[in-house]
Amino acid sequence: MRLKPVVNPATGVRLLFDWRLARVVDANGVVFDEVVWSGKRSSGALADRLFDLQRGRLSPEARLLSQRFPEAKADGLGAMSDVDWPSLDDEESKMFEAAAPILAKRGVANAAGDTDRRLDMLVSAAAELRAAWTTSEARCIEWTGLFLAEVDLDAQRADIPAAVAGADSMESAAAELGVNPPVHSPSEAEWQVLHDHAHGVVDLTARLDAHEEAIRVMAHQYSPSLAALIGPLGAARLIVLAGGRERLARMPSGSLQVLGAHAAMAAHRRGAPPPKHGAILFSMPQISRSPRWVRGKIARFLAGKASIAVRCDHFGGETWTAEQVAEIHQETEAIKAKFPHPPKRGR
Amino acid sequence: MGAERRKRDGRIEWRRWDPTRSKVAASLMRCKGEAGELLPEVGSTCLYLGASTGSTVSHIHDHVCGAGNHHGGKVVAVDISPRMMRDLVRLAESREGLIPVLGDARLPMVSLHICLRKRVGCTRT
Repeated sequence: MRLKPVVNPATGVRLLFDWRLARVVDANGVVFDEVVWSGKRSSGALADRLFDLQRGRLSPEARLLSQRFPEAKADGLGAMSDVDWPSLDDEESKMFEAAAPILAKRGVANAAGDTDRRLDMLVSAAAELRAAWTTSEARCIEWTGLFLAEVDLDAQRADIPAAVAGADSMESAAAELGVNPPVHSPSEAEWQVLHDHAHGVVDLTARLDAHEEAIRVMAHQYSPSLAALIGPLGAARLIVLAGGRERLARMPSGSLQVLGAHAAMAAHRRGAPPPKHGAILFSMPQISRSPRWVRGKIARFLAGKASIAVRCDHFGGETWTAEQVAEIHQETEAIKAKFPHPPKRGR
Repeated sequence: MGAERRKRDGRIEWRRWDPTRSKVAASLMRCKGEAGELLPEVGSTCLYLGASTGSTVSHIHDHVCGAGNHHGGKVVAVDISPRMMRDLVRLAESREGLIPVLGDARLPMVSLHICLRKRVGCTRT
């Protein structure tokens, strides 16, 4: 929006308006026509008007005048600098003061319509849940392993919480896991707590899955191309880290490449070498499973593609098809094949 | 947030204005000249940008409007965040003359200019 008075060069006639009235004024300040809000005035109706005005729409009076004077240039902010504009009387300022909180409350309620905010809540909740899950799950495994010395804590790891949660004593848990009963059994109170803890882990696992499924659904809807390219969970995390889809779409691909590498970027500013990729890009197998010396090249390439993908999503471009995405992934393989050996040192 | 420190002295109530939490309070403390000159005139119209939940705003409001707005002032408090606006709207319900506005102060705000056609008392971020 411009702050300078907008004057139609052909005629110099401007259409000025605020919530009370609209006027058609020429460059010398001569008023040609004026329409005043004549309907029933209430603070609720005023809040509706202000809501429209804030979105840059014309008031009904201004619309009427723009039909009468099609050559007049509408200037939503012109009334602010017009010295002849009538000031508010007491009743009008009372009404305005009553309408402002209504408008603010409406804005607060409308914040839930913002997908960026909803995605932020969902992704942050899932991240916290995952942090809780890793801690709890590891404790459950160690705790059970202390009693059942013969359980294979790696191969049977996934079965342990469910086995303990489903058993009514340590002995039956041992039978469930196919090992000998413990030499020392936990006390009754101890077993109860251990059993509930395992229940908690099983619950957390189910909740975490549900959370991530919800994120997947949302990311596929909100940013389909980016979700197809780097996976829905990664796409959602990128959007949240950038602070919204719009901000991610406006980001240079170099910034997208290092999203999630804040500490490394801070170190880079103090002279360390720059990070090759952020945490989210690194979670893609194309980068994390590649040899060290091509990771930077692939990350740069994929970040470039990802920034194009999110721009397609945000600015209404065509959604990428699975074939297009597969083509990009093939190209990463080509980059990898081009550099089969580490670069020579000391040059 | 802890409870606000209040003290009653007859009809007058004192509220603690913490200079470590409010830039306005801090600048009043560090002011070398007449500290009162930094504050807007009693009964004027103020625009406060970046009002947040309104702790500093409430003190400006006390100064400009007084209890029940007996000075007839106005404080227009602008913030961009709906989360902060939630608390600010509740504050405005109990303080006459405090006008909460949810919006981006970098964009010209159409709704603002109407109430600010009078001379603006102060602008802060």
